[in-house]
Amino acid sequence: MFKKILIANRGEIAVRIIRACNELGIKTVAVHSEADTDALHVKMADESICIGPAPATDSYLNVPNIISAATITGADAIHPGYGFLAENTYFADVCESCKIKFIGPSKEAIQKMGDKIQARKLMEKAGIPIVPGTTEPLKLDDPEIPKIAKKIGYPIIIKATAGGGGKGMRIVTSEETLKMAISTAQTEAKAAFGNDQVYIEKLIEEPKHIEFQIAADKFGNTVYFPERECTVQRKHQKMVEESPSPVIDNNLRKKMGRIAVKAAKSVNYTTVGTIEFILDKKGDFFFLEMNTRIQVEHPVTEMTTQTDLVKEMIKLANDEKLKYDSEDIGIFGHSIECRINAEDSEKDFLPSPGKIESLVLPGGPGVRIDTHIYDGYTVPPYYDSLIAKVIVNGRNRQESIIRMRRALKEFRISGIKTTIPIQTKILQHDVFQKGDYYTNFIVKHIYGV
Amino acid sequence: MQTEEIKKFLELIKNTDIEELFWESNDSKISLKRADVTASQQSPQQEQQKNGQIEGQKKQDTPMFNGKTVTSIKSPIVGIFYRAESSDHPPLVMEGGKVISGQRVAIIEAMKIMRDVLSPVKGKIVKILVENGHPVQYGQDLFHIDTEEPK
Repeated sequence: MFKKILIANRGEIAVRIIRACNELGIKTVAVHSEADTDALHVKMADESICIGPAPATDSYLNVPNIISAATITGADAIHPGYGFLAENTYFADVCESCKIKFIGPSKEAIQKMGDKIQARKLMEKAGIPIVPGTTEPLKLDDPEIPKIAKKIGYPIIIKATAGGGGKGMRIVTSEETLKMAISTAQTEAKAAFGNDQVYIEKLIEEPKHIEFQIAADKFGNTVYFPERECTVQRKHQKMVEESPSPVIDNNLRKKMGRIAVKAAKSVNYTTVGTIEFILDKKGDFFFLEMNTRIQVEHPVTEMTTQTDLVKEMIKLANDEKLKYDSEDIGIFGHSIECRINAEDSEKDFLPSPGKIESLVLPGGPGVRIDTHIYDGYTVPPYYDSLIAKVIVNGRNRQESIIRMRRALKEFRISGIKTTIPIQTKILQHDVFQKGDYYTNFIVKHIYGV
Repeated sequence: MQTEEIKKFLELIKNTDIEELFWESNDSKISLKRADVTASQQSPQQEQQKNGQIEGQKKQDTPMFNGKTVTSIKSPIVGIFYRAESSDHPPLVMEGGKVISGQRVAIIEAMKIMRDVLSPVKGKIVKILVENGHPVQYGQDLFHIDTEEPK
């Protein structure tokens, strides 16, 4: 087993990984920017190294400093968390050359699934249903494009191949705005991801976002976990997730789960990852994308299945064999997660960094908090606004909704603004209660954003 | 031995690289050892790994030397700090020595690449804070330079 793992990340996920390492008896190295000197992950790790000034490009994305930090501390593995370098093939490659184990899939799997166009083509070839659309990058002056768009059928969505996490997309409702939309999308994609390749997908109206956690060892064993529903989103950012989904029965779960496994196997995937699907109102589902990393919402699955996905990920990276099949994974009640961001939900979600003057975290039965904040901590302005995840588990969906309402009420924080007010509204809403909600839920029922 | 003489020995140790001094004469002898030397049989990396901390990690708000504010040269990267080009070469600079702006004062090795550390100022090196071959993190103080012109 690894002796020492360097966590190439910050915030709540760094804390999460350190916890898993502690339980596995593995020493930990935290890396941090100058803005994160007092961060919780730095306090919790066995060792810490400052790797740069506040801006992420100079610190958490600074490959030479991170690799150097691993070398000088004698770390034999690096866990990249999510975001930052987690899906960076160059970083995975450098780790390999320096004989440091990158805790994640192979750089080939990251590359294949990271290029969204290539991933779609791969899935199509493997016989996996994909959202109707193009599987080649678009050329702005290609005369066929209007015809292709018409065939797919408006409304359509232009997406960036190097995008993901809901970034770099443009909806087009008619042919008039098509060319302009493609041009803008290409420019934005180039600026955001350094790659201007875009493709078209049919815009599925009133979809549900259903994803499957998978785990795979290097011996060819791949399992799927019960689905997570992540439909409650604001501007393509997930706000509330739940598992299992209120609309998926055992048959559909098995059907989609097996397809998720097939998708993962097609790129020889190892450790843990997630396959995302779109489920339309007719009950048809389509591959959307694969996330080749541990995800923010992994605790929902952990609570519902009583598993530890981060420990599992480390064990699988250590070439251990999966000890169970998909059928062995039980469903224990129902779980819900709320992503609490340091944003002012009354001022168009304006980021709200600053000092936390007082903090009381929720507790009691079936309540879990994954966070890096503490009383007196100053939330820095340089990074992601996620400050805490509140996850609850109940014997059934109704109990977990009541439990989440209680947990959000108990969460007391002053000094900064958070999204708790809006998540409270979501959990009180009877459309959410019924489970009959789509990705436009927040826009339609909560806010006019 | 007079107090004045002992004071002179202490100044000698403080202002140079000397770690240990033993002086003997017909009527007296004195042995002085620098207090912050952690003599160790282990390699710097091993020792640092055991201690779980990189030396010099505690932050100083404004570096001072003898009541004067000094300029810090901080590490621009994460790596191993070297005072000379190789073990066959002499150290690039010494404590008490003068430096000019742009002068190479140390080398930091990271991923097999050697990166020069240059002094941003002209002045006198009053303290070298990291031992040769020890790991350093980003922003760690390496040298304290007194930039005040002597009167």
